Amino acid sequence: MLSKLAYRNSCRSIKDYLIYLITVILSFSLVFSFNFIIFSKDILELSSSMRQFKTAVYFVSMIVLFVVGWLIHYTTKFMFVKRSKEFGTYLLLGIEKGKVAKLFLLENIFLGLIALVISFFLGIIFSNVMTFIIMSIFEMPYQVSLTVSIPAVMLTLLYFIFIYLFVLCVSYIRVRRMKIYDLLYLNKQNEKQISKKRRRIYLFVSSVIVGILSFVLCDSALQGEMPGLDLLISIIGFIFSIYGVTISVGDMLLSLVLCHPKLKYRKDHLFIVREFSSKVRTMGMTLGTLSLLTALTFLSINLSLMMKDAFEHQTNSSMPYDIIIDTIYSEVDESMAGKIDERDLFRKYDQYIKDHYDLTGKVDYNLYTMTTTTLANDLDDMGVLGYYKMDTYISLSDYNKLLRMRGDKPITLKENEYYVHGNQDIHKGIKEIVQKYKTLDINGYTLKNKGYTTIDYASGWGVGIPYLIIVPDQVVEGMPILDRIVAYNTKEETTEQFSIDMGKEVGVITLEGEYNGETYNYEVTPFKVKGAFLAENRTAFTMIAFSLLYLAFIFTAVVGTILAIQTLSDGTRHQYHYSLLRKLGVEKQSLYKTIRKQLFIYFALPIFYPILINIITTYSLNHLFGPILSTPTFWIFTVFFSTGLFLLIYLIYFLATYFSFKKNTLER
Amino acid sequence: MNEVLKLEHVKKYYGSKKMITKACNGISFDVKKKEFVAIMGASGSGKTTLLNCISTIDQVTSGHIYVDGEDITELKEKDLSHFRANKLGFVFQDFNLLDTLTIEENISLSLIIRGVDPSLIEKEIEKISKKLGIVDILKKFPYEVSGGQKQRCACARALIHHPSLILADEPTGALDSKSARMLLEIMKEMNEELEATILMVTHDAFSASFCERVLFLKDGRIYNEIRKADKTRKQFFDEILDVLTILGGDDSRVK
Repeated sequence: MLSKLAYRNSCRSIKDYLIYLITVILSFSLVFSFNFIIFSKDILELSSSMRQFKTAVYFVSMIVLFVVGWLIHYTTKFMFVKRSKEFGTYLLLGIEKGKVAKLFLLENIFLGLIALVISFFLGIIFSNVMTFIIMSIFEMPYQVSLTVSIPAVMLTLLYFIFIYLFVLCVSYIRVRRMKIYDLLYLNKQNEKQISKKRRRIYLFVSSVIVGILSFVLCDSALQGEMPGLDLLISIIGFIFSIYGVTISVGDMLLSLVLCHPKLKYRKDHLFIVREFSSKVRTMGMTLGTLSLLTALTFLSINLSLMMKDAFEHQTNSSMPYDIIIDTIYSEVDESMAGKIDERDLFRKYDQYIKDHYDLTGKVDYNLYTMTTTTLANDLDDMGVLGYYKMDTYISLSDYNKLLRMRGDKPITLKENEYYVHGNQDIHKGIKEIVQKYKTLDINGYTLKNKGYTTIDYASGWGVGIPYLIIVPDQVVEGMPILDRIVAYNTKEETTEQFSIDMGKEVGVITLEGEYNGETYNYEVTPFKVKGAFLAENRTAFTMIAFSLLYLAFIFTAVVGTILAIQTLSDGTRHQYHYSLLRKLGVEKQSLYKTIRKQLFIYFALPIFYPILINIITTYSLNHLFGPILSTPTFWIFTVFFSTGLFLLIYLIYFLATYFSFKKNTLER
Repeated sequence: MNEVLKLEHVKKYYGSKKMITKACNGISFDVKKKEFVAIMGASGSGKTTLLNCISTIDQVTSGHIYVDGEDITELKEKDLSHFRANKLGFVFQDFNLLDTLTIEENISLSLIIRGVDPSLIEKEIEKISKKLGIVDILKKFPYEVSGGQKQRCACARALIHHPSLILADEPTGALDSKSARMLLEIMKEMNEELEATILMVTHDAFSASFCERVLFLKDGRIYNEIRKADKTRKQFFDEILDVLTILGGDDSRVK
């Protein structure tokens, strides 16, 4: 009898809590699929650092577990409060407390098991899709597999049992402790009048101030050398500010409207604002947590995007071409000058590359230096220079060839002009020296500055050289060569294996070094292959980007779900309010409008302030990431992108809520 | 023309072809301006159905209902809302106040819906609440005041936009006898001083004795109609009880 009742009750719950159930299913599917992936041999064999990916997924799973656990706990508690009268009636009829508790638990286990079974199958599909994405990032062939790894299933089951054990224990204790009276009157406790309005206004003002201070602190912390305690304080400040603003904004809005009779009695303002502030009063802390999750979602997406951009930018900058051969010949560097038969070595590499790939481009160029340090000294004083502390020149024709091979537009220079191209991280320094040296005397020529750029500088153009001075071709004639470099573009993608093979078969160069009076030999690999670079660096990127997006999705779904069930479960009360408005003569269409407005404000609350925080924190994060990102304005793009992505998923929850709400309250 | 409400052969049937419930089976009567009319009858006699049809919450199966000469059975959905907002005022048994709004704001709803100029609303609320003696509780929330006060607030809401007809559905049903008596006296005042036309559905003879005319429903038809005329309220009350006894209905309060 008990299980029959439990079964029937859960069937009814499915209807009321469909959105919740879908979110739990999606979350568990993701947990399943990530576990499938980290136990998949194909993925683990991709690269040695994939093991770290596994650890990262464990870590992210813990956070997901915590958040999903909170969602399930919250919803269970919520269902309990909504149905407290029913449980009270059972007790009143003489059913034992233990049995009632068991009934409630059975229902929840039933719902949980449904979710688990569905998410198992969805998880297999998701994991295949994700494996496909990862494999194509690594440019590996992929085959759909429906095999299920037992450890992955066991691990997910463990997570599941862990969450449910916790949630069920808590609710079991709650039911056992309840008295009939409490149960019968529990859902009346919802409407508590909090009269400390003045306090809430103080809270609002102080939260806004704390928010501003946190921003200032965070901004300066991220500009400094080592963000530590100051960053931590600003994070705590932000959390306080998010909760404070969310809790108090309802009353702020209310006082605003109530103070202006014109505003108050216009259209449906009064009704909406009152409903809204009563909602915020009863569930302020929950909404605060939702705001916090929203802010974390933005942060996750932004970090993920910045990582991706930094990775791509780093690739473009370090490896602008498929293969680069350098550090073989130098008339300036004493360790190399005249010690190697460079012609022979260049020829051998060239031959080996041509044997293995079809070439689509090749540029053979020199970097020159007078070993003067006019610009370098100034830059060094600002503490921005790297290995070579001397001015380095490249001829205009070589520079343009390099630009063309990378698909960029060439530049023009008059016979008496020079141009500077430097790295993004010494942007400020270059701006200053260009203003200081309007003219330069180089190799007997006097050149005027034509300008500078720090966009798309490739550090691969010259190892250890953070900026190049581009001069007309005749200026470099007779200048000592700092480095001779050959850059290749190939038709096929280069691989890690090719790099290893070329090192083995053609050989690397051995140089002599001196340390504490003793001489020793060391090996230098005078070439770089894009395929090898990507293999080493992709893992970290994949790992971080995937994990962060995983978190972002779960957070968004949890926020949407809690808002949805909160709104929908208020159905009976709303039904009463709206039916009264209908009786008083409000048209159906304008009621829909009121519902839309009400839901819109309600859904906007937990995201409005986080969007603001998203903008300011990303601005601050840009201090940290700026130097390794492709453009100085990339952070603006990430703000729009993360907000957009979040809103897209959020919109689905909003629409689902709106239509069910409409159906529940007006059409029933 | 001083007929505010006129019903012509109103029928309302529920159910399928095999099992028809005739909730209203050809009811005709009219209510003149400034009248205070009660409709009485046992449970299942069709009182509430009739009231729902008049308030356009439900639709008649056949027959016509005129309010201020306008046939409301012919109105379209959009016009119905407009009709309810402008011509009708409601007082319900369970008050039907919105618990998120203060008393004052609840009263203002009728005016807001009609799109009255916001600057006039406060004055109107002040005027009506003085008459109904609820000035002191205007800033309170419904759960902070007594049942009688709530019902007076509901009356204020029903009256504030000067509707042609006020429909009251068992307004004293949830009140104690003292509050009920106070409310009925106020309704009587509303009727006499503010010239409100009131149609009240009740099963309570005491409430009905405050009216000038009482209609008795039985099995979906009008069974009887009595008028107070020059009788005292006590005499009228006794007369109502007599009819009820014959009707076989509510005689529990015969003392």
